[in-house]
Amino acid sequence: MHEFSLATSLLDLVRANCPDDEVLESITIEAGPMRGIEPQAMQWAWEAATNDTDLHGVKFELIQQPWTLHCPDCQTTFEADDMFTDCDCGCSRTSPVDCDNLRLVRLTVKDHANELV
Amino acid sequence: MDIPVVENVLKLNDEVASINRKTLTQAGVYTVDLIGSPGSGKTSLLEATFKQIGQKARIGVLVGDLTTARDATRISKWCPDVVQINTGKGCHLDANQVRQGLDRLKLEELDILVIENVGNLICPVGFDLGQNSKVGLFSIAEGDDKPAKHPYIVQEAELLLLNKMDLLPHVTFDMDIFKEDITRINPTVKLLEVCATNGWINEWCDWLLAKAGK
Ligand SMILES: Nc1nc2c(ncn2[C@@H]2O[C@H](COP(=O)(O)OP(=O)(O)OP(=O)(O)O)[C@@H](O)[C@H]2O)c(=O)[nH]1
Ligand SMILES: [Mg+2]
Ligand SMILES: [Zn+2]
Repeated sequence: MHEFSLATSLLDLVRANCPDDEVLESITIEAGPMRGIEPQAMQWAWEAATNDTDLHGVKFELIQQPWTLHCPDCQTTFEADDMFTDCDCGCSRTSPVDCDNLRLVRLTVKDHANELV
Repeated sequence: MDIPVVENVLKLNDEVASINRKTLTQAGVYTVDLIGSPGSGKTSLLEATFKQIGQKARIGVLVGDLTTARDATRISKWCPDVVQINTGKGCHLDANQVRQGLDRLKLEELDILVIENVGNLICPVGFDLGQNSKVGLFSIAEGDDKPAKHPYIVQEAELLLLNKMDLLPHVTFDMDIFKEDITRINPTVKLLEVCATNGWINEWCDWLLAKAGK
């Protein structure tokens, strides 16, 4: 189950990117459709991986990206829900491009609004 | 408050993979990450490869397996340079496991290293191990829709092999669909038809020897 090993890899990355004096509330990752990540499995994996660690209780948000397809005829790049989507120009030889992202894109930390300045 | 970051989730794995790549390149070893479904014929292909070109090139093997040593035992009949890596619950090899495997091989004596990944068409694809190329292995018995269902390996592979060609007359398998889907996902990938158990693997052996400069 690769979701679990992704979650484990995330722990180190999150720690390395979160400033020491902040309280982390949630993290957001962005995943391209090539990665075949199952959202529910990823959610469970995150909870299991953070359980018994300093990151326990930190929420996890997954942004699943659509397919990005490139048309070799008219050179346009467009988004689609299905990998095999023809281009508006009629071309059916569209290929996926940059569909394998897997990035930590955001850390949400507790607001300082109520603190004295 | 949001803190924007842009970090590749597999950054640590990729860093170790770069070290592996450097180690292997310096030792002059051409490395293939062989990825295919359970039972597609990865170990059979390796056995046939040793039979055919074991005298022409020195080939080492790292075998990823969930819990058993069966594949390593099969391959050790042909080759002294085989290292078994048990991944336990892990459904793929990662760069760190390969790093440890490399320490147990005499890399200077090898021309080629084949890493037989854990039988799985999805998880292993995203983990860089430090290989020169990924080779995807499909087989006739799995059906013609596997490229469409597993596009990641098709896109990432430099070479795709279609094994168990001897079964074609016995199975419903539309070769046109299989090839069209592959071309649409990756217009430049090379596809070779093979049969590991009959030793019909000449083109694969030629490809491998050419890559290794042999
Ligand atoms: N008919 C036929 N059978 C084959 C061929 N290649 C492999 N097989 C059979 O397929 C079965 C699985 O082969 P393996 O080589 O063990 O497959 P694998 O991909 O290494 O399997 P895992 O390591 O368990 O994922 C065995 O029974 C082989 O004899 C082939 O070209 N034709
Ligand atoms: Mg095997
Ligand atoms: Zn177009």
